[in-house]
Amino acid sequence: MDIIKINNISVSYGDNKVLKDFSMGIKKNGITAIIGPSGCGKSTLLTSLNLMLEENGGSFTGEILFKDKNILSYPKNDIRRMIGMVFQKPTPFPISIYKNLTYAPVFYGIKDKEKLNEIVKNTLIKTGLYDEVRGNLNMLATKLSGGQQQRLCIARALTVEPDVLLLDEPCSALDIKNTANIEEMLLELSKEYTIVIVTHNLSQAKRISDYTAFILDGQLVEYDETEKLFTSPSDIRTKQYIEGVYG
Amino acid sequence: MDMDDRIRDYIFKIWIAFSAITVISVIVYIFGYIFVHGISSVDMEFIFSQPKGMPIGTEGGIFPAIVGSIYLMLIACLFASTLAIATAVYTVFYCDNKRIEGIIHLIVKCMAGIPSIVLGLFGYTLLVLNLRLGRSLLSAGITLGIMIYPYIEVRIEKILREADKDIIDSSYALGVSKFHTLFKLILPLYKRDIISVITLAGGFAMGATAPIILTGAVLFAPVPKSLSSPIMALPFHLYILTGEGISLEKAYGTALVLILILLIINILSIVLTITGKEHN
Repeated sequence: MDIIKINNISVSYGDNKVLKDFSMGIKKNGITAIIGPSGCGKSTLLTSLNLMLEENGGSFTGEILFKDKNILSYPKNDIRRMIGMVFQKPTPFPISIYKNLTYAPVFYGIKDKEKLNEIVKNTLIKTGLYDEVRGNLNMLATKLSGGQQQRLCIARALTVEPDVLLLDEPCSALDIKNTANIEEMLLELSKEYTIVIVTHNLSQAKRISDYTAFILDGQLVEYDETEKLFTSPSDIRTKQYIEGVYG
Repeated sequence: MDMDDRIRDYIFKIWIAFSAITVISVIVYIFGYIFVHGISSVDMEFIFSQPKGMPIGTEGGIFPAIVGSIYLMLIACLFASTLAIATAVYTVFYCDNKRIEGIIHLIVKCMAGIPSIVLGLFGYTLLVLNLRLGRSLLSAGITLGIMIYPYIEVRIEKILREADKDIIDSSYALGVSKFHTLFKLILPLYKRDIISVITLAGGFAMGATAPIILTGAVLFAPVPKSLSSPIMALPFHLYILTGEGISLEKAYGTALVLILILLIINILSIVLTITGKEHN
């Protein structure tokens, strides 16, 4: 079942058209990877899904359905709560780890201290940070290592119980060990959440994703099960890209 | 580097050194001069008692003026920062129309260019006469607030404009509203910088004389009991003591106290900025 359906959207920033007549469905749970060369529109696609596009000065035509309802028919804040996002560069708030994780729940009206503690604990466990930071919850989040910061950002996105998690090259600023940590965690999370990850790293897409979409110049070239797309791509351009002819 | 460059470099260094020495000597001279002439009249009695003598001010102290100046600063800061924060938040986070933003910037710049005595006249006409606030602590405080408003607005706007865009986006991406993001995340994060700006502006307000001459400052008044009382203020007292030839000695004493208070305010502001940087 597709949790998100993208029907013929065109996205542009002013006069600059980034996605053209783009359609694609995203299956519930599991990991969908989006690959393609720089500037092909991958990140723009992600920001269209949670309406962050408009904060960056972009706009789209066409329709995007979330659980079979147009995303524009939901209040903007609800869409962003249900479709969480993690950015390329880790962006912890320069406040304590604890407050990073209670910031959004407090906004949504949770005041009970016990409940907040539980959210903090659960999200830290899910992101594998609990054992590393349990004694230091009042430490400034910006003092964590890069990998920990990124996992905290994922934990922060989970505090509002989203259905979908969008990740925009979450590992591009991290080393191999931290990348492995995050990949392992994403695999675990994909049992509960729908994960869409934009990545430059083809082997990462191959390692963790169930489905892969290849985008070129704002158009969907090929979208298939990851295994099939990487072993026997049906489009010559996909074949060239994964063989490293360009990109 | 050829000969010409070397000479240019040399001349430039002389220029810098000359400027630095001039500025530093002027500052040291002013402070030194006021200190030497003022210290003899500054003691506990001078700070904590009312002006006395005939004409008033030749004897006694300046306590009501110290308190008056501090009150004026507080009211000016409160009034100006409330408006300035609102303006800055609106222009940075809510205004989508470049033209409106341009108009706001133009108005703020024009306000910054208004001579302070004209502001005084404006305060006198609007607040004292038309709104019937009288020559009072409130009228003078608000007039000073109008004077420091552009100063605070420009700096807070700069702080907000340079606020980390990634952090703001991360907050929006959690579905958190703009209002909550601003008031629970961004403003608290830059709280120290903002307070530092306001404190500095407060010092500026405290030293200003022209806006309060017509709106509330008087030769003699007790420590103000309410917002509608006329008040004494340090710079005005200094002006009267010298201008009317009452007591040059007391005038230097007043100047010394004023400068020391401003020095404390400025140091406080710098400390806030530095600890703010460490905090972030």
